[in-house]
Amino acid sequence: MNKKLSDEEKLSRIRLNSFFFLRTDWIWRFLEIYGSASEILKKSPKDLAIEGGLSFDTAEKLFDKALNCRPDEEIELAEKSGARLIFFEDEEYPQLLKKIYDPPLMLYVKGEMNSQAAVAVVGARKPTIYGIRVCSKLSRDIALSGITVVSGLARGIDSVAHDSVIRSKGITFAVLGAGLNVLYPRENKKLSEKIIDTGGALISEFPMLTQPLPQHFPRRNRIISGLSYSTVVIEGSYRSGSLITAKSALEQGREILAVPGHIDSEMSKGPNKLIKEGASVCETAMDIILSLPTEALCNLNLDPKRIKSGADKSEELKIEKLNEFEKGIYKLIADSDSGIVMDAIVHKLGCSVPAASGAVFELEIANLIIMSDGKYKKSFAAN
Amino acid sequence: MLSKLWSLGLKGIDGFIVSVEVDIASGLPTYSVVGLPDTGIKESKGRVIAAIRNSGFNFPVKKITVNLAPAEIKKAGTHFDLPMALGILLASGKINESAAEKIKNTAFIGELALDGSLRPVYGVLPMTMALKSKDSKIKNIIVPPSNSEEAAAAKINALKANSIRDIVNYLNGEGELEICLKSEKIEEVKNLGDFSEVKSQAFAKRALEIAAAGFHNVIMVGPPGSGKSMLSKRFPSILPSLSYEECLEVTKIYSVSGLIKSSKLMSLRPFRDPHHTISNAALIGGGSNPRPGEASLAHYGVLFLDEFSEFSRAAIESLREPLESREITVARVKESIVYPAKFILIAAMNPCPCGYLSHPTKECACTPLQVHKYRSKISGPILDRIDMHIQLSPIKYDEWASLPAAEKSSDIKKRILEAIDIQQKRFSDSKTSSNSFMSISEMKKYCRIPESADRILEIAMNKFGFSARSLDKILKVSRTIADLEKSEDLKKEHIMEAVQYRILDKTGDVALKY
Repeated sequence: MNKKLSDEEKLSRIRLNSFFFLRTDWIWRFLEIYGSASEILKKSPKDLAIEGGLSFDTAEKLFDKALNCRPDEEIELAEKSGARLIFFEDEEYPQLLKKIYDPPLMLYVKGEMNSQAAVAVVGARKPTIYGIRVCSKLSRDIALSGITVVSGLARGIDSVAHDSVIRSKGITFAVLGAGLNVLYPRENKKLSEKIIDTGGALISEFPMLTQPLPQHFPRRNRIISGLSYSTVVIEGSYRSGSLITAKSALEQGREILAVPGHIDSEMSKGPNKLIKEGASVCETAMDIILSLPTEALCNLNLDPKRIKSGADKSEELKIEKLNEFEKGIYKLIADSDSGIVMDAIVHKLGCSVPAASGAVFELEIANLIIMSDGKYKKSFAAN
Repeated sequence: MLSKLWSLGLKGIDGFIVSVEVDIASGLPTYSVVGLPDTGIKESKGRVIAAIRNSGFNFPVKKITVNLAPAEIKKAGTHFDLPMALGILLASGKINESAAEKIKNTAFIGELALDGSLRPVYGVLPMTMALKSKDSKIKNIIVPPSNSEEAAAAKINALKANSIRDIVNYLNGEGELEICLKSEKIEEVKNLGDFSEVKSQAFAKRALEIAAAGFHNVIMVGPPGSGKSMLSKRFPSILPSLSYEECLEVTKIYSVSGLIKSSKLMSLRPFRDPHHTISNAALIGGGSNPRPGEASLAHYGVLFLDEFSEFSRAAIESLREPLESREITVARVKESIVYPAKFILIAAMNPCPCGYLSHPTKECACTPLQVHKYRSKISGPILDRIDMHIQLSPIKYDEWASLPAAEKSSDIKKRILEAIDIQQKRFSDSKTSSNSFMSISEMKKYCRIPESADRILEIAMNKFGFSARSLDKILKVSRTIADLEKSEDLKKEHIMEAVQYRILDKTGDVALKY
């Protein structure tokens, strides 16, 4: 199937791709039977039902949708918003994704899709501070090793992963559960722009104007795991979407890693379940790197010392420069689970508000802590 | 016959002298009032006729014209009843000629009941104060009994009159009216609660102390039960008391709004806490007959807006003018009125729609977008104009129980008074009264940034993205902190502390994500 597609065939593929209620392995089967998308569309729903084994209802819906699709408009929309269409047969189509059971017919891509090796980092939409901390650290370390981080641009862990890769000037791909013109969630618009600016890409299988419906996300998750050698799950409840990603990684024969968590935290249920079922435990970026196949390891920027300890020397240096009082406050803030308010600092250390204010200011300026929602929290930013 | 006597009108919160002229001529019996009277005055006709008849006089069946001069200024209020009725009696010869001297020296205000007795009216203090202007030769004022103390507060001879008959007797020399002396009565101090009743919240208390000392505006963010209202209600207990001039000004505003109770001078700093469903006209003043709004009623005191983000956007935005210029201009086609509005704004709001975003134990159920929408109701320009933003957090029981009793309001007030003293000396030859009202030239003079702080301020500006106006506020607050410590110069520590009171400037998109 590695021949170049004709323009007409491309249009037919876009038509077929507009019906996304069917797993793509069906479409691939029909392509095998009839030779090309244009041929498929010349058939009737009845043919597809009899010869292809599809239910008549579904076949009818497929034709209905495909024939009503306007491929020209689709291409125009994509061009206007700076996106490209990459077909399965194109050279740019990710090799790793080609190998899965039901690869997408085509991808809409904004940005660049050059990557040596990619790892998926997925997790809860409402992570705990532990999840954020771990995710930010792991993503930063794997990005510094030159590995691309793939995630879903969702709230929570996904956003943290993208964000910390961007801060370390790494490459990250975001696979969306909606069309590229319907950015969801909206508050991540800036983040999505930064992803492209730092050499990453926004990827979607769905036509440009597709709305983010719940049923699209499992379909999107197979692309996340399909683009990556390994999938790391950080936090998620039993019924979390990250478990769906892990499941599709399993189906695709990819490695699954999970970050263990407290057993009494709702957000640890998902990863702990995965570990119970045989997923590798992920503690440092080294665990992730070791899970990669040898072919992926070349060209990586590996410094085992740094990755193994996962520590950032600059942070320690900064802390050394602090005076005793500031160190005390920093410890208090770093030890707090979800941040701490000024009142609590004053109360616990028995100091005055002006004194604590001054110390907190120094810590903020040194980028050791941040103020968020009125609380002082340990800063996870890599800069 | 023609008669002329004095009365008073109101424009904004200031009075002006009105001369009431009555002409009675033969002709078809009519009664007309000219000189831009509002409907209230036109309606007074019925009251005037009945009051004159029921006081035992005949109402002249002639052509009566009443003119309220200066005729180009709009006039409103029921207090013109009395001068109009007396004018008619004077013009129809019911009052002796010997009364001419008294009438020349006296102004009359009061609403009439149908039986000829006098009812209290609004705005007596500001109107009476108009008599104290240089070119006024009027020495006395006759007012309804319950307005007399208010009138006396302006240091004018205030005469109490119960009815129109009493006044006619007095003018005819057949009786006397009681003079009300300047009232020494002042408002009793209400039990406002004391800061010692609020355990913990050291950060917020410190912030309020600074706010009281420098007249800074404050916004408090915190989950329900963190003590926002409790602290705000106790805030007046650390404010200094009003000077006599300030008392008069506050009382004038309340008098115009008809809110004076028990005819005492308002000596306490006002504390206004309007509900969040308030319209913006009610908040800043307005209406077709303009009246001062809550912002002016809080003049020299506290405007407490609880659930700040629940106020309508228009109402919140309308606060921009009073927060910037400390007064409100209500413009109408025929006139524009300026109401003073030098208040301390204390706004309180939850961190998110459900309220529990930063709560130590409860889970917040809001999406980041909801939180963003909720906060964006308070626009940047408004936040810029609020000097201090503070975060509150509810205290856990075990911490609460272990805390010793907190500092008393009176002790805090002592420090504040000292800081205010320093400011008064500093601004003795300028219009500015507090650090928060400093002009740019004054800031250059008094808020010199120490060399050691120059660098950190620059880093902070870049890191937190403060606007130029925020920087001004930080410097003003730093000045107050320095005053509280009786420090002549601004020090690095003062600025560092002031930066901590800008939390809402700091939380940008970071808060959205994590």
